[in-house]
Amino acid sequence: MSRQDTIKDLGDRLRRMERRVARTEDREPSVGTGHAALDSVLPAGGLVRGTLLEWINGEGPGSGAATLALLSAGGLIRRQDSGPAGTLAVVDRSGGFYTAAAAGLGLSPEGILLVRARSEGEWQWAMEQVLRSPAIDVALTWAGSLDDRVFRRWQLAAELGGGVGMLVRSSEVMGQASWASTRLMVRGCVGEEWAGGRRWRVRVLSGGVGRGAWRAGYQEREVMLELNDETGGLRLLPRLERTVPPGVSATG
Amino acid sequence: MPLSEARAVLLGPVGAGGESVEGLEVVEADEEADLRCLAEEGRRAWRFTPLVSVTPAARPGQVTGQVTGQVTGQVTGQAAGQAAGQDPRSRPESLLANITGCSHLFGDERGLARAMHEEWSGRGFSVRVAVAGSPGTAWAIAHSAHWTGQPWVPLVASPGRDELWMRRLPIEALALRPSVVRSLSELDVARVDRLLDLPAAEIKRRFGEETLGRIDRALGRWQEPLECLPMPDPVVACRSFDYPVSRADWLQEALRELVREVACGLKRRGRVTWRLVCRVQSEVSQSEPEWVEWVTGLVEPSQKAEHLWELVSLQSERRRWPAEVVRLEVLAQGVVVPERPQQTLFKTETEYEATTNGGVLRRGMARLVERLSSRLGETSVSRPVLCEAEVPESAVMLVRVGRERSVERSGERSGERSGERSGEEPWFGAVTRPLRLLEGPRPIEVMAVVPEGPPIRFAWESRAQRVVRYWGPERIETGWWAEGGVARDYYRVETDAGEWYWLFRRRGDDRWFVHGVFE
Repeated sequence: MSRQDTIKDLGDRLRRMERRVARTEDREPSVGTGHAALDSVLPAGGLVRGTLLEWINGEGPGSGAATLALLSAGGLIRRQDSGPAGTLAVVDRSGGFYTAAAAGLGLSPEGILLVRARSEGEWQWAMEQVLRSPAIDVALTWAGSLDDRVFRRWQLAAELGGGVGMLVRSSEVMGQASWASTRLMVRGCVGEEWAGGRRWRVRVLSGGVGRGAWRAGYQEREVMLELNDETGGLRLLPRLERTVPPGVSATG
Repeated sequence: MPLSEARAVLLGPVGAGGESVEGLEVVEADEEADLRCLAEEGRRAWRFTPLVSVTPAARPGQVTGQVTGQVTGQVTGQAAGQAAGQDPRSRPESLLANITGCSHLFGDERGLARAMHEEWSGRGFSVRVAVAGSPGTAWAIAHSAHWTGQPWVPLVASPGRDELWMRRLPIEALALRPSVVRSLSELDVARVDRLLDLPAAEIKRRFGEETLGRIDRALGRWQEPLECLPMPDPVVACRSFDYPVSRADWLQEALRELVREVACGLKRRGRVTWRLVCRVQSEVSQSEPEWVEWVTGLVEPSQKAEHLWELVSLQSERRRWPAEVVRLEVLAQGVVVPERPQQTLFKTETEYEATTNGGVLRRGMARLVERLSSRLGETSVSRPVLCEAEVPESAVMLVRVGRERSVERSGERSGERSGERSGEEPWFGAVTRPLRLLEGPRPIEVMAVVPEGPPIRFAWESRAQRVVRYWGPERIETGWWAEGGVARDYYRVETDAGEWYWLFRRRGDDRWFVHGVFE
């Protein structure tokens, strides 16, 4: 078999595997995020256990990807009916995760486990352990450039543990391969006139393999979301509401 | 009640066919077995204090504890005994514990009493807990708890109020001889205050000197020594080398053997441990050998060799072995009686919650925390607790996993003072605090149109940022009396790239800082 044939054969096998996994995914029930607007954005209609999600900051770190990641984690963390509340593990290298802000987003500090890793090796190991543990429902970390093997290990660990791994990343990783089932690009809406809250454009990107990967025929799309400061509610904005041009405004 | 009497009352004469009464099971009282069971429960009480005594007569060679603050728990139900000695205090049904200096670990004495109550009631015992200034008073209150109308609520006598409590109790609380109690009842002396009003000489003449002694014991008028359960010998394994060893793989293997020996020692004694201490002696300088100590803590106590070794080896990965090692020691600390084995095939959620530190830790969480703590260090794994502090840096306190309850308890006690929050309800909106708080505010250059006005432009991480919207100022200021006080005007700003930052201007010198990023 020639080199070209070998590559073609491997490509076919990979596509068959992906299709099979995608079919499995269709049967995997998703868990609502607690925000209908977010559920409508996510390809599976919610979070799928045993998968990784990438939240990519469209601009700098202040774009708000981590905020949306935490909002989406709420469905797995908050106590459902009489059942036990879930646990969010935050694996943080800088130690600057501010729990008070997470509480403002509706996540109880009692359900948060903070893990501080000081070196790259410790961080990779800690994230894998957290993903592998059945006691953790959502694992959140900030990941820059990531070795493909580490990424794959994390994906397998998430499958084993049954939780959801959320990676907050910068737009520099856009060209890199991903083992996440879903990749979302988050950009803040600039200078639009409303009193409080925050608005984003969230673009659901293609890509990803493994459990929770794209359902057949799913298309890339972009939606606008608004977080209300007072109620903490997230809503999907109709297209017409994004027409105000940017400009300086001051409300104090 | 003797067995023959019980049979006569319940079944009729032996051999009359009374044994066929449906549902009735007659078990002969076994005082020795009760005592063994009670002593086992006493060892469980080491979780609360090291000075625990079972009430029956003293056995030689045991430690005597100081008596200043006492708690007694009357454990009935599975451990109840029927032996009726002359001294009611000798019945094998009570634990006496000296809790001096221990209550702060549970918030206060009430917290400790509640924790004790939960410990035994959670495992199916009917338990009465009382705290008082002496063993006699604590015993009396626990045994007369029905008088309060709430016999199963832990009772705590405030310091100096022991006699007030005692005066209202029935005469049986004094643990007098049954014949004396009967005589007093005939004289219509039903409560302790009635008896105490009688002249001591009269009591002595009528009921003997022993009765006076028992009254003094119940009232704590003399310091009653406690014969405490002996603490077990330490579980330790050690290895001395003939020549100094520096090879890490050899030392690692030796350490593994020692951990295995300690695990075997724990298993032999039927105990589990909360932490392992590894001590390494090196001989870098001949004159003064150096000791290095590694402590491996567990979230749930264990005795399994594989589990213990996994944690120790994870920790040894981040340690460097000293050169010229001449001796290794592994010591089990916090050795306790294990929780009772699971009673049903599948635990219910309630049972599970009850057996894992009040429901703080879920299944698997303990193992995860142990692994993370062993590899990353104990301070690297924590849970956040919100505090109502003016300064943002102080609004979150990190506590080690498994110690949240003690923090919450102390918060309950001093909540008004420290302003600790329940953690459920934030006091600000969804987008008013940044998800990332910088470790110390970073100074920045800011352009503002008017002095003390909002920022228009600023530079951050080598990028010029133009502010398109802002919210603020939100003034955060501590009182002049507060140490390291702050006076800041905070602004939430949105840049032309759609990013949000948390800036503040320091009042006084008008310098600007970035304090957080709304990631």
